[in-house]
Amino acid sequence: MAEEKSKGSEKEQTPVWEWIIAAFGLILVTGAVGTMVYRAAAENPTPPNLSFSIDSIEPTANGYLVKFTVKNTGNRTAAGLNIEGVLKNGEDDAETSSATLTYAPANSVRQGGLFFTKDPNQFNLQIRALGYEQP
Amino acid sequence: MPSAKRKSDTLIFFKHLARAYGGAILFSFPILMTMEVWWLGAYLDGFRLALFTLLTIPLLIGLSYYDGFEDTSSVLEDVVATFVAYAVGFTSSALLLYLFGVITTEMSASEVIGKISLQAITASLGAMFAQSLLMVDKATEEHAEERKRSAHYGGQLFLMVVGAVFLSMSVAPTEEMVLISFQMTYGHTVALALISLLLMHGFIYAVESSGHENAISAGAPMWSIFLRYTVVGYAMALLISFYILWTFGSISDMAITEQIKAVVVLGVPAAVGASASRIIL
Repeated sequence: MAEEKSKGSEKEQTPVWEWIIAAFGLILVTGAVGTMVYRAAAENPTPPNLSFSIDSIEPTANGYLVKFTVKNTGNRTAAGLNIEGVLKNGEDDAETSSATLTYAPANSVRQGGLFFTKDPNQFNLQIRALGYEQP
Repeated sequence: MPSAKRKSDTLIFFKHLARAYGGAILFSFPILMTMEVWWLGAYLDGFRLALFTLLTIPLLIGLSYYDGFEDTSSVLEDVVATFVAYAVGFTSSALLLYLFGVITTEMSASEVIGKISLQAITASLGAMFAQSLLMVDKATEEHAEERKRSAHYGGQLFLMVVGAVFLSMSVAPTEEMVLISFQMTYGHTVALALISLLLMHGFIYAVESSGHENAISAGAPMWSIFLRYTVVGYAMALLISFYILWTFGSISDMAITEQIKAVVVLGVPAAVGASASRIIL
């Protein structure tokens, strides 16, 4: 037993487990590289294309919270995304609020929230993106 | 008898594997907890990230040859150890990013894999480094030292490349790299380059003159060491920092003079990593 690690000259058997994990590693490398190449190749760089959906409207201590999901279906990431929510009363703006998302990555969704003092259920709530920085 | 031997080989492998996980987490912590790295993983150009991952493989194979977490005696074993290290780096990064809430199930596959594979580059290098830092096995250690000592000039330069990549990767993704270069004047840049050279030469001279086991040209005159190691090493450090900044897209669309400034800034950790690698590794 003491002999078994003596010198590199002795033919050492690579344990089966090592082969299995190495094969897993090979799959990970090819998978990661493949995904990245696909990401690059499939990309006809369409600009950020943002759509908003309202998840919930909840009362808070000082008013109301509107939780929203923004989905970027473009192939470009929007950084520093400015979002504005408006409570419309006919043509007039009853109240506006804004939020900034650090990133809305390409083909991904992000969540955020907007605070209002008036009850958004009483108005026509509109959420839109104002602008972003290209990362 | 053979089955008992096989069993103990398996046991040793799992010990090495645990050590590799330790190394991967230890060395990748600074960037696992850096938000710029998460963002880069999400939006980085796919080709550049794929190229970076592919280039990591020969780096790991070479590192395994000189200094891996296992005592290897053939190229095939180095290749096997390389993919084990990548598996360790990838899975440890995936686990920690998931626990940090950086990756979630509702993100696209491309975003999740991008984030993990960027971290996996440093983490797999860390898994390979595990041997030097967390070593226990005396025999393996002696063997690795022997290899390093007998490493030719090319081998020494290779270890410098690994050191440069490794140390510069821990800061390269941050916005400070470009910010610092904006704050600097051209005078600052020239001075910083000279200081980097001096710093490098200090580290290298310490190895060469102290009779450290990695010294392969003990007794060589100072100017010879300066030209063969310091100058060549600094050139490699600058090339590596340019490559990494290009990969991250930090210096794209910048004037050439501004690009050089940023390269010199990232060249500082690259130079220190390159010259110190022969002490650390």
